[in-house]
Amino acid sequence: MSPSVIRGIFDVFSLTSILVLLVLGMAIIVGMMKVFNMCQGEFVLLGAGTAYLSYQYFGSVLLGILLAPVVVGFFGLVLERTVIHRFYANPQGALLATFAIGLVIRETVQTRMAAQSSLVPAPISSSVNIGGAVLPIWRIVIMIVTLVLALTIALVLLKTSVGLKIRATLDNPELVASSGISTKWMYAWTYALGAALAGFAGAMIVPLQTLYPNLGYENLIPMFIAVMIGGLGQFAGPIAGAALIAIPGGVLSQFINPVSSQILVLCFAIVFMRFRPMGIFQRGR
Amino acid sequence: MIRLSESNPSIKKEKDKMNKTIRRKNLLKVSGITVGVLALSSTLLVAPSQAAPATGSPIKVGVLTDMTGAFAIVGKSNKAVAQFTIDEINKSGGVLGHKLVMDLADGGSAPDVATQAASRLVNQDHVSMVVGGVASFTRVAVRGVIATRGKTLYVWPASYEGNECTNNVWNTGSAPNQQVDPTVKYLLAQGKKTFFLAGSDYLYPRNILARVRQDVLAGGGSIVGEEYVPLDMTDASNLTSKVVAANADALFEVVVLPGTAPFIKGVVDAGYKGTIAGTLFDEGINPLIGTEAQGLIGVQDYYGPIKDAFSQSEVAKFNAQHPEAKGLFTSTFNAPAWYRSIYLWKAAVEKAGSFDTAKVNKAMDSVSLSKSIGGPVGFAPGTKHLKLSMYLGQSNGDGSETVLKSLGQISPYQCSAATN
Amino acid sequence: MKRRMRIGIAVVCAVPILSPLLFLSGNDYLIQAVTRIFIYGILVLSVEMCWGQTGIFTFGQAAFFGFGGYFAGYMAKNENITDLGVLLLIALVAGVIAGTLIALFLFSGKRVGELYVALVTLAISYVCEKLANSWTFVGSGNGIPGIPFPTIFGKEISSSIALFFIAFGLFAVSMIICILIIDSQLGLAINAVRDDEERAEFFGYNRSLIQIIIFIFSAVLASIAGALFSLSEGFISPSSLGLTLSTSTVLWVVLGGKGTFYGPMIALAILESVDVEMQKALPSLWRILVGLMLLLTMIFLPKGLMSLGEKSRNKREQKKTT
Repeated sequence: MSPSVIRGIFDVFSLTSILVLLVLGMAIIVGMMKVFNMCQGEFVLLGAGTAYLSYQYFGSVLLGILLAPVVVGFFGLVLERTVIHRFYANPQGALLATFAIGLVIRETVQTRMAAQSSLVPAPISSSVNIGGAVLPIWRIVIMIVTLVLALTIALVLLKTSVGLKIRATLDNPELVASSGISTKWMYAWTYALGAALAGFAGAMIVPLQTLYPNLGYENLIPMFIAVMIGGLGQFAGPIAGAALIAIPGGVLSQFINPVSSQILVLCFAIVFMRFRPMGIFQRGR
Repeated sequence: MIRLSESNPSIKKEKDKMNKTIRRKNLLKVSGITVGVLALSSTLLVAPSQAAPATGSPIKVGVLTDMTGAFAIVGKSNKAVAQFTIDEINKSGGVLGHKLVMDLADGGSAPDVATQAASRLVNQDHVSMVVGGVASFTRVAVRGVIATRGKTLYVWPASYEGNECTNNVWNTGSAPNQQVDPTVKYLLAQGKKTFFLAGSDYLYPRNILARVRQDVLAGGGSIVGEEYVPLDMTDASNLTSKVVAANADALFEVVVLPGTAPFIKGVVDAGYKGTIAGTLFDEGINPLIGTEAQGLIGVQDYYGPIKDAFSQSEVAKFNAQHPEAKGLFTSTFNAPAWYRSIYLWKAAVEKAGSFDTAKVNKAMDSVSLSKSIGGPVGFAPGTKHLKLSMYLGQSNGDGSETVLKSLGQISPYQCSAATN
Repeated sequence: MKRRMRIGIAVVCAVPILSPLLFLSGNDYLIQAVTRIFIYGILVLSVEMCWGQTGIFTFGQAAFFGFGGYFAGYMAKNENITDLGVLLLIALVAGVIAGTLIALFLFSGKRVGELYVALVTLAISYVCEKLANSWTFVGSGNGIPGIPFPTIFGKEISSSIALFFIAFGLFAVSMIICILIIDSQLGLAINAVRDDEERAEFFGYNRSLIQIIIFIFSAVLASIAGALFSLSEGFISPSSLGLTLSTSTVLWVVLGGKGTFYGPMIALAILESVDVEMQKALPSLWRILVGLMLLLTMIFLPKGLMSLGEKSRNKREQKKTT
């Protein structure tokens, strides 16, 4: 295999793992909690910002990556308790309110940033040579971490009692409440988990790009579509959806320009969803 | 439909009450709308039109730059340089006895915001001239509003892709040939034979790379690849692979912010060993790239270490007076061009003896400054562009620049004399 | 005549009476700002009709606006078609075609959820902006600058006052047409669809047809507004297609009060006028404030500003009866 083919295949997997990592948090908040969280992108942004600040003040990006889920998760917790919980019965309101939150965060970051794009170096910036193709190690790290993280969360949700409580709360809150579990806090912590995952993704990914205010916002629509293709209501769906969007997109980008390929994939996704909405969007649910 | 209300008296009472409520709602709505319209009209009355300035009164200089959005950092530099230059001119007596005052408008790094900002400067504040714009899309969007419909002088202070020959518009940044020709010449002289061209997909990089192509082929070199990436794309792994695979002697890149740093880092980290050249490297951009900036080649009209006493003292004064913009006086942030623009306009006004746009426009074509940032400058008659002193520089990994060679004054190849 | 129509007529009469105040200032920049408000007013009308009255959560209306704008701008600049009537007709047809395609996709056949519509229209707006940004045929990032003034019977309309009245005229006509629709039997039908799709179907209304018709109608309104925008501003760019404008429009409707008909226009007028001043004074802080306003409105005043009056009136009514 020629080096450019190896690199090509590697790029497809790398792009897929990045989208999956970004979508993990959304899988929980939009997929399982069914909250149309338009500020999910800003959680990613905040995580990336944490990595950057940690690099600036403590000299360590790795520390930032570890701090990001904590910081953003806490932020998500506060947000849920103050704003989000008011809109569980009002998806339209949730969409607009979270959009407003995202706008405020984005504009605030924009104002606070001195330069409009800042660089955050990867903890491991070297590359490895495989068959003549030069592959950045950090991208390999992301692939491994994403895989492990996705599997871990799936296992926790399916096999542990915590996971059972979460799924039960989201499926049938009245029953869960009557068995003594505080649904209020279950919701809060689940939302915080979704935020934390997004923050972690942001911190992991920012070394590959730069930190700029629209970092999350630009990925929002593809992320939403990935989640909706996969189907709301369970964790695995959005992951599959992300793969379904990223792989064809990545492959197409090898041959036609990336913007066109993304647009094509999105169009196909929209049409696909129209004919197989999997009963997600009917009113009264 | 049975009209119950007409037969039943208690229902009638309810209906009357409802009508009252409706009428009240009515009133609320009408008053709401009238208030809205009146609020509008009143804000509109706030700024009556201005007559031409009386003798000795301050002259407004329209400063249009991006204070918010993607180019905010450039805007910060522009504002400070403009203020510095205006203050200096005022200290030495102003222009034709009038003091200058800056009227700042934010272009928002977006053409629609810039258009409105330009319209305010020209149609409401009636500025004497407008200088500014960071990206070409701003210039293209506002030149109609300022120079054509607004009949106001517009100075464009950025190095760009060329071909701006609109009446009333003057260019004080470098034209492609002034940067590209010496760079390619240097690379060829260094023995580079194969070239890879990469850039963001819009007018500026395409025009620059077209000039590069022309120079390379004329000098006996060859182009082994030419690729463009979308402006907002930040994941350059695709392009990186292509660059590394092609393994040309030299890479000429015009991938703009925010993609510049990740692209160059990616290419260097992936093992590319050739020389990287471009039009956007200096002390302003190097820190964003980091250690991978070592060895980047470019040509600018000014670098920090150039051996020009006037430049050195002026920039030192700037850093002292504007600590908020310290270190932002760089060529890629258009600082030298801003400085030049206001001084050249001053010279044209003094030559014409008046602030009248038509007269100043005529005088601009032949003004020059014996002393300016980077060296003497002057308009090449008929070209609407400047003869500039250019310098060949190499970036260092610590963010600084090393000046390899002083290239002297280079003429611009732009606009024919007939377009004026 | 019903009250909505009465208010509409009042507004239509008030503006020409009050506008000389504006013209006296001789300030072209401000005249242009008000002209822009009327143009956006047509866009707001389109969303209010589609969402406020019919319950179709169209989150990407800017796509039609920009589409009309690009069409008209391109024709005027590159094909030398500057007659106002012709350009508006072109925009209308463009709106019909685009609207029909999307409406058929969304509303024929099985019911789709309101949120699916929102997401699809949002995605369409996003995709259109990206396409316009990268397609050099329509100027990519630059958009289409230097669009010539429109002409009527060969005479060029270049004065800002003339453009003001054209924009106002079209706004007034659109508003009256919308009022006529809402006050008619069709209006009852669309409100029925808004309030409960399923029940409306049981009552025998052709939900699918109603949604398609209104969607196309609002697409046409938006498209015409866009054409007017590009001709009066002389300029159109990808941002007129994208999420920023789409969400601003939704914002105006929400803040003003979805379904109240006049609320969104009031919100638009107030916000845009303040925006004109704020752009100069605190550009970045202002945008954050707008976001906060939207958030606070969603939490405390979900029915929008118009409901402010309602709440205090209800309190007064309660006091009376106790």
